[in-house]
Amino acid sequence: MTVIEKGALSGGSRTWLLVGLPTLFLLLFFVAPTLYLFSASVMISDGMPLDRPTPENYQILLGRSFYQWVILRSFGVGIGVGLAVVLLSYPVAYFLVRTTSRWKGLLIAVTLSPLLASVIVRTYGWYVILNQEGALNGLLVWARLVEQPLRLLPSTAAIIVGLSHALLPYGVLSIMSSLNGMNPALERAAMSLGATRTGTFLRVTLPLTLPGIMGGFILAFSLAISAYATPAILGGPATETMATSIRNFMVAILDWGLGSAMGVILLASSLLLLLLGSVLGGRKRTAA
Amino acid sequence: MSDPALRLAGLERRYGAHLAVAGIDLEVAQGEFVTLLGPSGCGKTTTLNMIAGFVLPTAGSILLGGQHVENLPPFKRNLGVVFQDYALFPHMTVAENVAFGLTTRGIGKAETATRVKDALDLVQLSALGGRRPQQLSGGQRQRVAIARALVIRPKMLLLDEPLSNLDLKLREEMRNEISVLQRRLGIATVFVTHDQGEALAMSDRIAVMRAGRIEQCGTPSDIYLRPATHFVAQFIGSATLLQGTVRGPEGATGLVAVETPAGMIFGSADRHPAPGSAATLVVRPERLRLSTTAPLPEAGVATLAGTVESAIYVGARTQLLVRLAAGEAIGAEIMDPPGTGLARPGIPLFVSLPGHECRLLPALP
Amino acid sequence: MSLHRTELPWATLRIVVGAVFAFILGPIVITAAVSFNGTARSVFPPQGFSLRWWSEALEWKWLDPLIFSLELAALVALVSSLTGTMVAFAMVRGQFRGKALVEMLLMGPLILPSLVTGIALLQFLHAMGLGSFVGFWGLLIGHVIICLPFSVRTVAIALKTMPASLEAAAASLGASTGSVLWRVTLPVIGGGVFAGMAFSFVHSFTDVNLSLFLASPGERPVTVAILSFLEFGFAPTLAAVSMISLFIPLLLIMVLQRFVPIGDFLYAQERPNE
Repeated sequence: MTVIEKGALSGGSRTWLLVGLPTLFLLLFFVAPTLYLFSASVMISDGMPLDRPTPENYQILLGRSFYQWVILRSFGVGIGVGLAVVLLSYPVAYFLVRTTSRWKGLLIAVTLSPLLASVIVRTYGWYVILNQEGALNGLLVWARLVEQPLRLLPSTAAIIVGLSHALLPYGVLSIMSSLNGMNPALERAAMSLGATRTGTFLRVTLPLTLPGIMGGFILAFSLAISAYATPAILGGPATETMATSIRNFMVAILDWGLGSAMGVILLASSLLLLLLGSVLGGRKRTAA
Repeated sequence: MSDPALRLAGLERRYGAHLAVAGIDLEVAQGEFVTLLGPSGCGKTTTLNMIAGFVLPTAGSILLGGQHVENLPPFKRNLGVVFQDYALFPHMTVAENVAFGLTTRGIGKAETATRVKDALDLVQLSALGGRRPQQLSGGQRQRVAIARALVIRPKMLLLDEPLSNLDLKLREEMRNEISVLQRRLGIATVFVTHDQGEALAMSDRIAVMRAGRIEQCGTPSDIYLRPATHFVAQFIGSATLLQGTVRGPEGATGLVAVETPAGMIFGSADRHPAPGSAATLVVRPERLRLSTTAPLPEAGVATLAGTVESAIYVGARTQLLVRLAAGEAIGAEIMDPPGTGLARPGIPLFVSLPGHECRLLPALP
Repeated sequence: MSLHRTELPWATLRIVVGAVFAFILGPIVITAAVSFNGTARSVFPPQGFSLRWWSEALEWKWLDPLIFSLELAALVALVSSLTGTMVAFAMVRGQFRGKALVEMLLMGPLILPSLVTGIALLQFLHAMGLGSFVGFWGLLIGHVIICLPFSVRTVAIALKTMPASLEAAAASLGASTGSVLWRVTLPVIGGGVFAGMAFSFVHSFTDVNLSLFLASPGERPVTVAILSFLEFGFAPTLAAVSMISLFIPLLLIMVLQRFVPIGDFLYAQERPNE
């Protein structure tokens, strides 16, 4: 179909009237600060500004075993959350796309409703469940599975559980859009050709929805490694992640050089994964 | 009126290196219904869009009632356009949709109300003015689109494949409705379609388009009975094309004798080609005669022997493929259902080709 | 029986999906229950019933940051959807030099972790001598940056899925370019604009990662208020505050959903024009 030519917005100069100001705004308050962050990460040492760049902050963060663990832990959390999100959201997404129930709309709304709540609200619920007097321990003691309440908090596992819960809707969205884009006749075709249900799923559905799975994993991973609230509430000093350590550098210790350097490392990890994802053939993020 | 409703002269639209419309000349008289017919990509919709003003021509002129409009924006051309997807505004009711073109013209409330009512009456939708387009059936949307285009009393009506989104039964109904309406209002109309059936049924004249050019322009029977090119012969209706060499005039019949591998066949032509030149004969399947016994020889009628190869039942008729003794296949249509009369694969028969029913084309290049 | 249902062992799938749903809703239900707890600890099952935590949650100590969050989110939604609409028009309809760059620039905030955007903006404001921006203005700037991609995207989808014939039809009916925009295009893409507005509101209202760094003690959203309160303990007041801050966006979306199918934009794929 043809758009009307000579419309209001075909001229280049007039178009710039629309994008000029927002572009300027982003250059000033997004690009410039990000560039400044890079420079701060090498121009501040021990909280003091320097005249010339130094790799010192990076040497500390990448060289000391405490920070190495912080970074590794973040990656572990990211991978764990990514896997959990994909595993949990696939059946939900499949169900939501294929169900003929008249509650379908409501079920989709319920699945996505956690997006409306702040991560803090959702994580707080996990605190209530997992703390020493919490619901889970109450259940375990009542069922006489344990004698004494377990110490489930703070722990990395709790952080993974909390973040998987918080980021589940992103996985569902990503996989749903992939399933929605798939022709359902393909599954019928596979079965008419003699594939069993499992065979059809493994050989047709799963490969075709791989981009959605990849997208969900990458999204969950990158949101998990940069999440602050959940590790802060369900973790402690022994379970520090990149995000919580950045907060400590910036607010508690006031070493903005180290904070910036950790920020750059976080940013690089996130970008690296995105790059990896697009190289592996996963398309760009579908959800969000 | 002396000026035609529309005149296109040398109209051209280029997209980069691609010529979507490669120089078109066409006139539409007042009250005339002209169809642009052709396969997708032939430039018919681009032509319509240039008339409407949605696409600017890269060369040539467009005259509406004798006045140049190439540089007028669409909203100043005063044409009624009906779109393939109807393009009803989803955020307005049916009545608001119809009233839209009147409000843009600053027509007063009272007059708008009567004209909207009249337009909806015209398409028999008076009861549905308060509905939203989404609540209407395909045929009803189509009617709203027509009412909306007509209510502004346009100089012309432009219809862009308006029937292609309807199912078969409804399509035939709307086809007749549009025809009747157009004749009653006497409004010059350009209709774009790829459906030859629609074109033959509705048009005063058809312009068959191919690759940005008009191949042939004429009345429906002209186009069907006297195709000017191979493309037109094959695009409109079905036809068997037989190649051969011109031998010369056939006695006093006014026909031309053509020697083909299947035998000597006679054809009609406006201008007789020179003997010895290559020629193609267009044979319409419903125009030839079949018989089990050899018919008596007749001047200007060629008789060829063959065998029925297949018989396909299409309801009203049966389509036969007859393999001629010389090896060529020729399509025929008869009334016998398959399995009866001549519609039995394998039976030998004779095919008679009356020369005045076989049209001669210049040979394939 | 529909064919779809036979494609996977449906009964098993239902059980698994039921379990995941319990996982999704469990913590929220439990939080709701705890907010009516009779004791001062975040225990479950609740011991006794009391509205004490709710009345505490409705004191100014909590209402202040709640109102601040509401005002901030509303302003962010307005600014980002207005800007996003303009930008989306340019991106979908316009051809201009540097378009690809602007597109990258717009997607940047979506790709970069918002926490990093937060610390970058914090340092930059200080370095530029705009330290006083930390608080309301810093939050407004930061939130608009991270919300803009959403607004642009939803409006762009609406623009791309709108049949081009609608505008052509309006023009053929005599509507001038401005009139087409005002009477046809904007009303038709209104759903996308509202969806972008709703996303931006929710995104701003629930944000932690940026607000963490850009809030000031006097000007802080409710998420930051909860976080700093958490450092002292886990009183059930938080459960009540959490519930309130969950209901606000929920209510907004439910009301908006009556008029605009916002959900459609959540997983709508960008479709090219025909």
